[in-house]
Amino acid sequence: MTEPMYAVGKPVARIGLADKIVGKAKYTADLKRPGMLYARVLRSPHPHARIVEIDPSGAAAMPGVHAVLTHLDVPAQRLDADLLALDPHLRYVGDEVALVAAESEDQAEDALERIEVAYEVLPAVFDAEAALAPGAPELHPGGGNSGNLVDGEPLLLQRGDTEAGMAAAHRVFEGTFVTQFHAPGGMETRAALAEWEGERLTMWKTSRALHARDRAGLAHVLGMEPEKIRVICPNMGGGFGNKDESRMAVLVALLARKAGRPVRLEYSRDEEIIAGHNRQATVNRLRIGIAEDGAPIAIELDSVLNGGAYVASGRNVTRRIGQAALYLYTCPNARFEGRSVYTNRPAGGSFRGLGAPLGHFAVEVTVDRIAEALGVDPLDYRLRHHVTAAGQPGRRTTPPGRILPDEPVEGGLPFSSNGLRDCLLAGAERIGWREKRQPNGSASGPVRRGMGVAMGLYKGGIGREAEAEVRITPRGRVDVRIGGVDVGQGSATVMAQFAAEVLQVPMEAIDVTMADTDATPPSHITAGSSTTVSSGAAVKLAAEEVRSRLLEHAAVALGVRQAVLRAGVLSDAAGGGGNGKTIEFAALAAGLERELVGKARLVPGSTEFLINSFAAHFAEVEVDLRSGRIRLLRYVAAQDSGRIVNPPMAENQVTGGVLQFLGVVLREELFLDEKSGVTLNPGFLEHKSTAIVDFPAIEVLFPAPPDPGGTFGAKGLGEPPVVPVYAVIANAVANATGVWLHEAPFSADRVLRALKQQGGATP
Amino acid sequence: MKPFEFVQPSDLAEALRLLQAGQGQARVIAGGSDLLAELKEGIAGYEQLVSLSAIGGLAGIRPEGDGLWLGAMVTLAELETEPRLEGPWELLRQAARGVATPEIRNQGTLGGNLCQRNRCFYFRSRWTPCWKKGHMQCPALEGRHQHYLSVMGGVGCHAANPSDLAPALLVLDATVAIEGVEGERSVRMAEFFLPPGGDIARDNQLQPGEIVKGVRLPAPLAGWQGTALKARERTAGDFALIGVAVGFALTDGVIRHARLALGGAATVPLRFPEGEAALEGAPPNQETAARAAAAVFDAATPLPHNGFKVDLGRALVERAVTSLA
Repeated sequence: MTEPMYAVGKPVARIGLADKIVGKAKYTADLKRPGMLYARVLRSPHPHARIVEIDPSGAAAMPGVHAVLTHLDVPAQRLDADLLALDPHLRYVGDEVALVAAESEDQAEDALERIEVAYEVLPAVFDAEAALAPGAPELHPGGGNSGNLVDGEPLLLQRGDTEAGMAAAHRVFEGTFVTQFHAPGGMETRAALAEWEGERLTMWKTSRALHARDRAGLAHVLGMEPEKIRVICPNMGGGFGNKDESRMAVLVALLARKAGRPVRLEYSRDEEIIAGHNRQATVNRLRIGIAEDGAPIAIELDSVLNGGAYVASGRNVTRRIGQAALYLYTCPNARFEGRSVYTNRPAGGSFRGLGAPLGHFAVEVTVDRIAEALGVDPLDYRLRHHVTAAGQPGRRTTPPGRILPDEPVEGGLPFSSNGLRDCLLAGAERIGWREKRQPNGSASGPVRRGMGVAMGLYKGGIGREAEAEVRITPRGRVDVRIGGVDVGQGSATVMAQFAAEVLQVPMEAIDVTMADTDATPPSHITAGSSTTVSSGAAVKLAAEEVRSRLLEHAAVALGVRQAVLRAGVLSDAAGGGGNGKTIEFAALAAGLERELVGKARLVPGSTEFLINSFAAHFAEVEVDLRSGRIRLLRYVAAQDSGRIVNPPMAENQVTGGVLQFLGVVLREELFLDEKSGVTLNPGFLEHKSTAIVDFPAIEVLFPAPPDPGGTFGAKGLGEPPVVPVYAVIANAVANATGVWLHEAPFSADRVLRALKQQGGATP
Repeated sequence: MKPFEFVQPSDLAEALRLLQAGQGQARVIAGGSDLLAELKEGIAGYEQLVSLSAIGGLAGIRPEGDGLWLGAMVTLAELETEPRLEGPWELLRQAARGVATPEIRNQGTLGGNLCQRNRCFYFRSRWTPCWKKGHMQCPALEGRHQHYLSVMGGVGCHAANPSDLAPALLVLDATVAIEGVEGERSVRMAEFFLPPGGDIARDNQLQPGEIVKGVRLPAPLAGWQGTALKARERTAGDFALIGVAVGFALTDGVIRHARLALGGAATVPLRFPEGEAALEGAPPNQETAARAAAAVFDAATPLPHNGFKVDLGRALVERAVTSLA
């Protein structure tokens, strides 16, 4: 792609931005329908209990109440293997017991108090390792689980023979790394509005997966044909991997049907945090064996994930913890064993990066310890041993012709591109690593400065079946449709840029329709940093198809054998301008009798190359030994996401991801009372959610070239920027103080404890 | 949030009459930044909120002899920018600036800051029992999340009063003017807060139907200066884990008129005579500072999960003292 590009790579303004800034954009909770009722949820006060008896008649008789829904009113079809629409078996404080629909939220709230419930309280367990012990209370007896171990066995991923590798190792480094529950914290809380017209259901909902999850789930549980269900997501106030995993759609639909009126449910902030599927707590035990020359020879990671009451996407979170251990460093032998465990904590789910930042925390801090022990600069250690474009040693096991995985385990697979070295060098230069960094623990005084580095690798955004439609209308407009959701990351703008690139029309001529099951082709979930690459590939292909239709029309109009489109003008494709006639895109479109349509459906990916995104981050911190406070002075994030489609949006994406995770890493945590199971801090204030004033500006670099496998050379960017954040802060703190942090978040009490225990730093 | 009636009387007598007639179902509201959160969480409920915002007499700062009168409705933002709070009084400005966020400081008032309820997670959650909410138990002492509890004991309740202004007002030897239907009375700042042990529902000297009318700062001591520091988890607005106000005059290089108060350490903001004695007559150096911190904290009795607050408190006392050298 040496030609200058028309729209890709340009700082195009985000679609819909003005409406959001002035408050005109409508979100689900802004919508109202005639006769609409308001729903509220009765939630379990017990961490583990069974409903013995439930009598909603008192609530039903309250003024304004039109319907009450209990587990006796819901279908037996499951939303998920471990999830019923409502369940008499309650598994956390906050689990859904019943819902009321009334003419006002106050009436609904009051009515909840009139639902009489008799509970049989069961013993509860909150700690994952305790939940695995024999005799622990079982959350989901039967099914495929063994005790509280999800699926009855650990997930085991391995390459080579780590036992032999460890035996042959010159030295072995070990560490246990602990992370806590925290809340994703999207500004918009979950909401859903259901309206029935006869047998047809329309639902407006906060969602990342209205085709794949909401409509499919509703059809399954309600026993309906999917065509009779329309799901729309008007605007999303933050996705962050969240908002699709809940009973909300089904419950609001059932409640609306029972009430005979439209019903809207909007979560309060504490409901959003408690019932909103949080990042799970994990314990990660890592061993790295190195050869005499310092090269990793065996890496083993053993993880236990506290999945909470329902596993949702916890399996995927667990799987991705393993990625850094399996793939970040060139190593013949690697092994990951992960357990997802049920406990009576609020349910976990997916959150930006899934388990990747957690596994990188363990690997990248341990690598810094190795470098320190070897007396090697940790930057040089990484430059020497990071996985290269050649991939891992070993043999390919994926059959030839099969699209390669983007969470690879096996060796023998090269990357389409690997910008780790570019990122390391560019980031080091920007922050002044060679000039400024001193050996670990060499700073002195009560407030000490230090610098850290950490890398990251992540899925590149392929592997999800994607569909798109692109039309050229007789009014000269280009209509792009995909079923995914712009969760705020700007994918509508990126899709428009792709269509503009192919059709060479200005951005203003493009309309993008997303997130409406009636108006768009089916779509995968908006997850895994996949929209740009996967849906983008479908948009590109559909746009190319509609362009060939247009060129056929142009050839007729121009009286030539073949037409060509350049910068909005169609002309003879023959050399030297051919017959010299031209026609503008708009004029040609205006003459169309009907719209031209291009449709595409594909599974993007490569049968020969792994496609991953990469990052290297650098941080400079100041640690106050007396207060335990970590102050961030500088942060440089160098990302390899291939070609950058929209530089300002991409920069914001990286800045947003890093800031979000600085909060996660430094202080965000959900506190649970371990007697009652109550979440003690379900609000932004005491959850210590990030605020913009807490951190300096993030310096963002994109030093890597376009990727030959990605769509227009682009690779995924949504999640990769969050992957190195735990490790880079921990490594910077170790550089400042000589003390290693193994437990996150790095709150004042944890930092002070580590300083005391490791005794290294006294002011 | 349960519905309530909002009334906005324009004179103080009417407000007091409404509060008395409300018999516990009426509650005074100033800036509301704490009260509304309590109502929203469902840990407090009233039929009527009596706003003080239209009562002119409660606003404003004015000289009173050589001292200063601070009306109860003076906002934290006004304190933060008040030019007369200089010299010996400067630390009150500093304490106000440390409260929450600019938005909250625009809304929050002096009276409200003194009367806000505690931050213990178990008090703040509608799901958990608590002495202060009328239950007969306290799960906080057995829990792991004790950031906002005392490190210096308690009787039943260990929750620490969260006022950032209180330590500063304590070292300024302020008095609180309390107004009720029977007239005004004055209470020294040091006696304003009620430690647990008596009526557990009450946090301070206010009787039902009484309000804080304002705060009096007495004439400052010549050459006296102070500072107020606060330890908190995040910059962007947070309650204090522990806060300190220290002040003294320097005469011939040694400390005179030392005053030292802490918030977040004990259940109520307190002056610490042991710490003051350690400072008195000594030079304001690191050694003196460490001795004062030890005098305050050597007898601390932290709970199993808030010992780090003792470390934070020592550091704050030492830094406050040495910063005034």
